[in-house]
Amino acid sequence: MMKTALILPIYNESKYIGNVIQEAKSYVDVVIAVDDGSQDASYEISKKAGALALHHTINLGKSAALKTGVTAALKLGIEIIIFMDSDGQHLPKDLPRFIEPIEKEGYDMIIGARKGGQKMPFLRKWGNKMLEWAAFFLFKCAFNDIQSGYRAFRANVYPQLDWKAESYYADAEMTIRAVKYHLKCKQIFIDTIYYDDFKGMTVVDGLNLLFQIFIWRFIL
Amino acid sequence: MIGIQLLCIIFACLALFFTYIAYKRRDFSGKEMILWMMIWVVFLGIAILPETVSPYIQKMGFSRLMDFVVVIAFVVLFALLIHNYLVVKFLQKRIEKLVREEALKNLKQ
Repeated sequence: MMKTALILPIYNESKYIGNVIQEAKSYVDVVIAVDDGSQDASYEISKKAGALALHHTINLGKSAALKTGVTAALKLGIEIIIFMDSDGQHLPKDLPRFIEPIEKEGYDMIIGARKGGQKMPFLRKWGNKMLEWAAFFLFKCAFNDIQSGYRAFRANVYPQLDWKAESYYADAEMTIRAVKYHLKCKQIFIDTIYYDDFKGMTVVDGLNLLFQIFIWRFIL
Repeated sequence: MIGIQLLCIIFACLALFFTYIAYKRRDFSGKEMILWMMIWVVFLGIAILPETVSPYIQKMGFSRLMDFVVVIAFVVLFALLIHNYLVVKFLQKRIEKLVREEALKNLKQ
C-alpha cells in the first residue's frame, strides 16, 4: 500500500470543511488542510476534525496553498498526493477511485472530470467546453475537464507538474504539463455538488485562463 | 519666462529638496542622491534655458523642445511601469515564500 495524502486548500470554508475532513479521513493516510488566510474558523475546525492543519497568515491563492500542501506531503514521505476542493463539491467517497489506478495500474496522474450534466451552472459548463477545445487544439490534450480541482498524482512526478500559474489556473497548468511530459494519465468521471454559484472561477477568470493556455503553448 | 517654465522650475526645486531629505533620512545612498540630483539639475537647467538644447533637439529630428519632452516622458513612464511591475512580482514571490515557510515551520518530518 502506498502512503497517501489528501490536500485541501481552504479559504473561508468553515461551513463544509469539518464534514469533508471527517469523511475523507478514512480513505487516506493523512489529510493536509492548508488554510489560506481565512477570516472564519476554518483553521480551527480543520485541526479539530483531525487534519494536519497548516495556516497561511495572508491569502496567497489556491496555487500557493496547493504548493504548501505538496511541500508538507513530500516532507512526510507521501507517495500519492490527491487534491480536492474543500467547499464540499467533491465527494470523498470517490477517493479510492483516484488511488487504485495509480497503485495497481501504474498511472502517474488521475483527473476527476466533472460530468457537466444538468447540475453544472450554464456559464461554467460552456466555459469549460471552450477551455477544453483550446487545450485540445493547442496541446492535443483530450481531457474533458482540464481545470478540475479533484485529481491525484504520484509524488515523484511533482517536479514535472510544478506549476507557475497563480490562483485557479494551477489545475489547468498541471493537466497541460502532464500532457507535455507524456505522463501516464487517466480521466475518471466524478459527481459534483454546487452549493454556491458565486465561488470558484468567474467568467473573467475563464477568459484569463483561455489566454494563459495560448501563452503556455509558447512558454511551457 | 512663460508659465510652464516657472512650473518646471518650482517642480525641479521641490524634487531637489525631497532628494536631499531622502538622503538625510538614509532612504537614498550617496550614489542614488548624486544620480537624482544630477537628473533634477539638468531638468532645472533646461527649464531655465530651453534654447541651449534646441540645436541638439533639432538634430534628433524634433522640431520643438516640447515634442522631445513628451517623447522622453512616455519613455520614462513605460520604463517605470516595467520597473514597478518587476518589483511587485519580486515582492509577491518573497511574501509567498515567507508565508509558506511560516506555515511549514512546525511540521515534523
